[in-house]
Amino acid sequence: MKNHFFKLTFIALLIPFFSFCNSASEQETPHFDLPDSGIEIADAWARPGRDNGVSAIYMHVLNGSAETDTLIAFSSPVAGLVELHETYDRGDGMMGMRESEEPYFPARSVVSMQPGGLHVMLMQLNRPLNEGDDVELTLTFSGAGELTITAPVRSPN
Amino acid sequence: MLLRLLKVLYIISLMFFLLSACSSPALDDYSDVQFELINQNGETVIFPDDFEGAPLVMGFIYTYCPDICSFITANVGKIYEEMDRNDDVQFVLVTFDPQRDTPEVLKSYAQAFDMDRPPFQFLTAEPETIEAFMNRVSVRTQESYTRDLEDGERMYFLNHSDKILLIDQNSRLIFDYGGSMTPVSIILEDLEKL
Repeated sequence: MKNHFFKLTFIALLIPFFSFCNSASEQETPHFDLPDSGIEIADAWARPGRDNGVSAIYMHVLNGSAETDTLIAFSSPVAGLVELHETYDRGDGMMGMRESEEPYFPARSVVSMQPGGLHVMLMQLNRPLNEGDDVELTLTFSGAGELTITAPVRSPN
Repeated sequence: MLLRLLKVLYIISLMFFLLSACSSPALDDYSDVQFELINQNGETVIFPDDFEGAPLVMGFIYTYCPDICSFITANVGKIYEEMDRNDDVQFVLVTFDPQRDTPEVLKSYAQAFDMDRPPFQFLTAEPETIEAFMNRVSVRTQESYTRDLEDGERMYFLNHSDKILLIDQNSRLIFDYGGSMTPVSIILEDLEKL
């Protein structure tokens, strides 16, 4: 009986520890049904940005085709410069950012661009991006061709 | 005999765990320093003197950061929006890129996040002051990716620490969080203990 009590207390003490670890973990990718062919974009959104500043667009890229596709160009009427970047944990207590060198989207799969990871970076904004605004972005894939999407601006979280 | 010893050790461990969960020993004490900073309205504020007397939530950003800093900024805003206590908790975001983040730039950044209003302050200072300040609060930066633009300008980005600090009313550092990663609910719980 006493041993049972000790075991239960020990497990109860561990619960807050594991619940913290879980809540601090990376975001999960939601489930998406892939298109029968080509590429579709789901849940695109942009974070706010100031005039002449920077912003980022996040989205899920759904490649329904039977072949890997490659992102070869981007453009947006609100930005002078658009690039695909990746935030990464350097492992020394600092977060780093680098240009993504492999914008590949494997066949029959979903690639998520999420905060703290892959994102389309908008630089040299020619106007402020405030919550409620819309941002147009044109993505050009080597296989799927040109795709223009509209991303609503919203505050992170 | 062995079982009795194990029980005693168990009870001591349990008491230690419960006590450590209830108290929040200071990680650092900033009451011995003084930094002259400028907010987004061009007003001078002194850290920590002007913030003593009420808890302070402090994040670190630069406005040219495309990803992580916007989540640090939003987290600070969300802590204010979701906190139950209705008192004078203070919220500041300090730039570690003073060359570009002037008060005017910080103001337009704050406006984009709907945070150019009390109780939020966005702070900058002279570069040497910011350097000393960031050293004191253990925020590290390092130039990373750069790009030469068509107009001759040079755009640069920074690797940087990702953190939000919780400082008590006596200028003591109580918690040091991962700024963009720590769930707001945890910071709110800690804030309630002050």
